[in-house]
Amino acid sequence: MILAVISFFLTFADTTSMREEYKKSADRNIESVLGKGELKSTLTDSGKEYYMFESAEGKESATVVFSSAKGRYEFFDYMVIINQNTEIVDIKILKYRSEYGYEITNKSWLRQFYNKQGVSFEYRKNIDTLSGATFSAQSLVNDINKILDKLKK
Amino acid sequence: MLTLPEKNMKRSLFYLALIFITGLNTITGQETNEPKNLSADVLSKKEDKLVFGGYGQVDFARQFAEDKSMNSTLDVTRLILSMGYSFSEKTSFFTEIEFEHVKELYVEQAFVNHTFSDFLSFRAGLLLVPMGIINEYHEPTTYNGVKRPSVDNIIVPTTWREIGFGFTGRFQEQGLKYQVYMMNGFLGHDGTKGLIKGDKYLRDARQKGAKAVMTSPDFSAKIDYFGIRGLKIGLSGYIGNTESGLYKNLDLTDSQNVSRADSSIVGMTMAALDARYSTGGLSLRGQFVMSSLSNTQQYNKLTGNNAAKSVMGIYGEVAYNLLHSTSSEHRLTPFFRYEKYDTHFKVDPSVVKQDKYNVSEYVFGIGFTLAEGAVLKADMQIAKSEADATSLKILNAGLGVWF
Repeated sequence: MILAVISFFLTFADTTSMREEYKKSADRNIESVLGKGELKSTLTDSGKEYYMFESAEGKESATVVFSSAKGRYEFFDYMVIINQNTEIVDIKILKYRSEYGYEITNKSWLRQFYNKQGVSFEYRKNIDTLSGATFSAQSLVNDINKILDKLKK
Repeated sequence: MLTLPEKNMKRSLFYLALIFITGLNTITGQETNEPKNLSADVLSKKEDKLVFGGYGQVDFARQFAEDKSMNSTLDVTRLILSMGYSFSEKTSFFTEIEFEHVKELYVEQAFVNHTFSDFLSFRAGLLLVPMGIINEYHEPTTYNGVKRPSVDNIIVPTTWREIGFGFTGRFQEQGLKYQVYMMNGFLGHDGTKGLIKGDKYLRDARQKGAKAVMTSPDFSAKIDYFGIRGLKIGLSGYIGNTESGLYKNLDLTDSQNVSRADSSIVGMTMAALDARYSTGGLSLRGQFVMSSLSNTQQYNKLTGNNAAKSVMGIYGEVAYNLLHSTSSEHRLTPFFRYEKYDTHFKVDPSVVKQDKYNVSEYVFGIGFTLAEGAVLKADMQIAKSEADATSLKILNAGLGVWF
């Protein structure tokens, strides 16, 4: 009975996808990294939205994932672009809400994730520590690993 | 007065809500890879409207002295409970309630924040003054050593907070963050005595938002640059006049008392440059802070205090996590910090410059991180002033948590 009530409630809940919410800033980034093309939704899983990027020539060349991870107190939203070798080619923090840990938006820090094949990321090991952003950085590392695991399956 | 059926109904509604929330948690809280409805996650995010956290430290200290017997001290130095509530995606409230030494109760922060965009947020309430590293980031798991650096205690009177309002924002692409606030200043004179001192500088003059007195507002600003990987640089500034209780009910025709009140105010500026750098297991940090007061001649004459014209503090610290290249989830971090501070850096001719306020400190110790947010620490603090032949030696040990 309770489940029925919940699913009824969820049907009417706000279902704006992150893709729609960040369309403008995300599209700008996607175009600068992958060129012109469009996103086709493939899967929504554990709150993560997976899209296949199809170039203007009709070639499927990358996966774009929108996800949220939790810093110390608040969630932040980000987008990651992964090529066909399951290597990350771009990460963009779309919305960082908290006062703590905003340092993860640092581009050169994010670049550590790029172009590494078959690597499981580990904060403080192969991803440098980040003063003031331990929770957010750790959380981003874990979340990205989950996405890569999913794509490798 | 509620009638019995109404009471029962309220109670059943309460239980229903409880069951509903519990049910929802078991659904959204599970960490499986099963496909889930997106809205379930959106909902679970919204459930985080109220967040709790806290930090604290329990410390042991033993001073060593020649030819003297000393007791050790044990203290729950501080225990802080923090709470944040999001009224909406853009508006939130954050507060920290602090117990110092078990018995003293304070409010450390209490402000409303409204975000217009990444570039611009407005905040108002009891705010931390952005000055150097520790005043804003003072949780024990974020710094090495049992005690906070002395410079961040004596020169920057951590935790320095006053009531005010202002703006903050970030420019992500450029790696910049700014804060600008208009806020209340130090109480230089409480109506009976002067609170700015030669040895403790402004520490006793903090009003902490408790029935605070304001003669005129002060200004505070900080810019942080975090655009280079592993590096964070901050530049902070503060300017204003101290407040004075002598202006209460002051008869403006009474020239003697007006001049007394004017003497009780000092102009104050403070500027700090701080940097933190980490790469691999290595972390470095340093800070330089200078502060000066004006009108000290009049102020000292009125109060009998020996406040300086300017004070300075500097420290540098190096630390290395020995377990960095192992697979351990713990961290074992020895560190060394050198500090130098002088609360009589420059004084008026009428004040005798005290060498005992010019102190060098060497702190070396180790931290062991049990888990992220829980750390055990021990260090040796050796301090020597220019006036002393021997140094003060203190062994510190303690635990710190932040969650």
